[in-house]
Amino acid sequence: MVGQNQKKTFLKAMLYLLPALVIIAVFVVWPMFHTLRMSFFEKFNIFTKTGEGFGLSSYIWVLEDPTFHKALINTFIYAVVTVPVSIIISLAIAILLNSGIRGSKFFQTAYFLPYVTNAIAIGLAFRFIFHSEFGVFNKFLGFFGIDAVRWLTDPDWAMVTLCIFGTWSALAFKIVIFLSGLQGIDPQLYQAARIDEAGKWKMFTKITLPQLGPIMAYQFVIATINAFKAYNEVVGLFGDDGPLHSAITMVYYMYDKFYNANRYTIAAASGVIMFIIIMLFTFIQLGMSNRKADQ
Amino acid sequence: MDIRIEGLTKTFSSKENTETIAVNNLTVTIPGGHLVGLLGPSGCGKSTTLFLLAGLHEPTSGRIYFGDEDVTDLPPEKRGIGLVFQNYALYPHMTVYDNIAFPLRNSKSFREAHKDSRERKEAIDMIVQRTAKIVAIEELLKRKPSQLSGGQQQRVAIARAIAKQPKVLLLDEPLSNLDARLRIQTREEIRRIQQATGITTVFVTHDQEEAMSITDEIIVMKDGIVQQVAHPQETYIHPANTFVAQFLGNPPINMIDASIRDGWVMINSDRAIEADLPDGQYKVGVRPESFILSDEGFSALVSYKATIGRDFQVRFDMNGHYSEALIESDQQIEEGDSVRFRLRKSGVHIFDNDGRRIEKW
Ligand SMILES: Nc1ncnc2c1ncn2[C@@H]1O[C@H](COP(=O)(O)OP(=O)(O)O)[C@@H](O)[C@H]1O
Ligand SMILES: [Mg+2]
Repeated sequence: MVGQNQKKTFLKAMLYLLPALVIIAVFVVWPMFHTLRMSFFEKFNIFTKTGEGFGLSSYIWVLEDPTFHKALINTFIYAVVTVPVSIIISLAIAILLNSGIRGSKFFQTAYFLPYVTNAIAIGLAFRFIFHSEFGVFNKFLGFFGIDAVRWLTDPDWAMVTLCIFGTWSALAFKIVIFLSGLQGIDPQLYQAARIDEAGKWKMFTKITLPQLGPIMAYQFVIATINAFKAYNEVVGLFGDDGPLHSAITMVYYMYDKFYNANRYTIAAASGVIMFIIIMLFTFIQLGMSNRKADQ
Repeated sequence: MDIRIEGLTKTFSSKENTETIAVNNLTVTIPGGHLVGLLGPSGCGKSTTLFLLAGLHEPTSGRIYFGDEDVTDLPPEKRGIGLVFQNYALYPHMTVYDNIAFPLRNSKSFREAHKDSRERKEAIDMIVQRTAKIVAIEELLKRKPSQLSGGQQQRVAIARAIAKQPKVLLLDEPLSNLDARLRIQTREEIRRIQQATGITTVFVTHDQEEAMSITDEIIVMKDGIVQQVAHPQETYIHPANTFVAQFLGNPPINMIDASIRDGWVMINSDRAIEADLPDGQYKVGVRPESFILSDEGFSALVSYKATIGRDFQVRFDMNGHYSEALIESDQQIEEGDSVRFRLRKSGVHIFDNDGRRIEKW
């Protein structure tokens, strides 16, 4: 009887899950499998879905390609800069908004707008801001007597520009998450801390930060994954991969090899390499935050 | 050190433009070294009063003095108080040890008294150990608050509050989350700690029994207004008004409308008790234990009887009100009996139409 019932429940559950499972299978599992298969061929025909030269040749090609090295280094720089910087800035803004300053409701909405706005559109707006002659940014620097920078056209500055833009566009989501985290902290802890003569900084380090622990870990993991996937930001800002390919990222490399160069197996191999890198980082970060939580 | 509160008022205004007067023109002096109970129903402004004393709320008007010092404008960290929150508010990610040490590590005066950091560490350790001993949590110092029972958390909260030897200790319904046995045990512990330390203590509670059992003095509040300030026994024996009379006592006092004619309180058209007051309508309160079975007095029909401990709980009609009496169980009384009651004077209170007690016995 019990077995019958369990079977029934199971079938019912499967019925509800079916649409989601089908969608995941078609759009996630199958493409992943397909990409993996493709990456092991030397040549691949995407119409007949047949390849020739089964082996690791595509991987070797990618790993020896100087452009891929450049993309890898750029992506690492982008992640190492934008992840911590955007987390620090968004936490500061969230704390400010949460302190109930005048108009904080308005600003909460304002800061969320970029998140629901298309990255390409924002990129276009930033092209204007970063414009070397007419851009607001250079005008602003001019006030302090700093010479105009060719943000978008100088290969030496392209990564700097990309990191500034990437940091900015990563703020909205993080602010929202931090805000909800801050609102979850029992306000009496701060009252207790006042009674216990803790100053503002002590309240931040001894209450706010530890209380945000799990959210902080989440932010780091998601932000790192997103940074490794940076593509919209690049195209939105430069229209391509920057002057002299100076701002190429891993995903841009993959895209370029697939659509522009039509080298499908190379694109697939670089995709798999990227997948492995992101997975490793996520495991390391989760492992670290779990160990911290256990202490 | 006395706490002097003068004309203290706190109003909260909400978005809907309604104003709540949480504390209304409170004037009272709390004698130094005493344990004073702040008693009243939920929402009467007890927590607000405590937070005003702590400096976590700013008063709308009025002054607060600790001894001779006007502390009204001092921030909480400069008042030298310890506060035990209703839900304890322990720091969840710190060990019990660190929770207790936290105020000491922050305290400016403590840092000045112990300039050398090693010596300070030792001093903190000594105080934490000693305080933990007072509240009997020495074995729990390495735990996190989430690994403690409600009673243990409460004791940690008290330890944190008294570790820095505050001038004033404020406790906000500290026993409300505990089970009955632990509550009695802990409230006696609070009494013991208070007497051992001699800290002026304000103890907020909505539980009259709690207030009666451990405090030196009770402040009874209702709707932000003080009703009576007196020795606990006094609030029971001589309640200032109908509210205090009804709030204190379990089972509660019977409150009926009665007239006085020719110097007699009339109940069920019979003379019930002599009262030296002019003829007219009054509110009369009778404590359940003040009914005495007798051949004289007023007549009543017993509609219900139950045994409660060593007493009978008896219900009958009194001037159209169901009233309850506690009768010692060696008496003969049954449901359906027609009986007569005399009243014990000490348990009878007569109030004017504004609710003020006017009888003087
Ligand atoms: N921060 C606040 N904002 C608005 N109203 C409040 C606030 N704190 C308390 N009140 C109101 O003040 C009154 C007294 O509250 P409180 O002091 O918490 O009562 P008690 O502790 O006796 O239960 C209540 O009506 C409550 O709704
Ligand atoms: Mg309260």
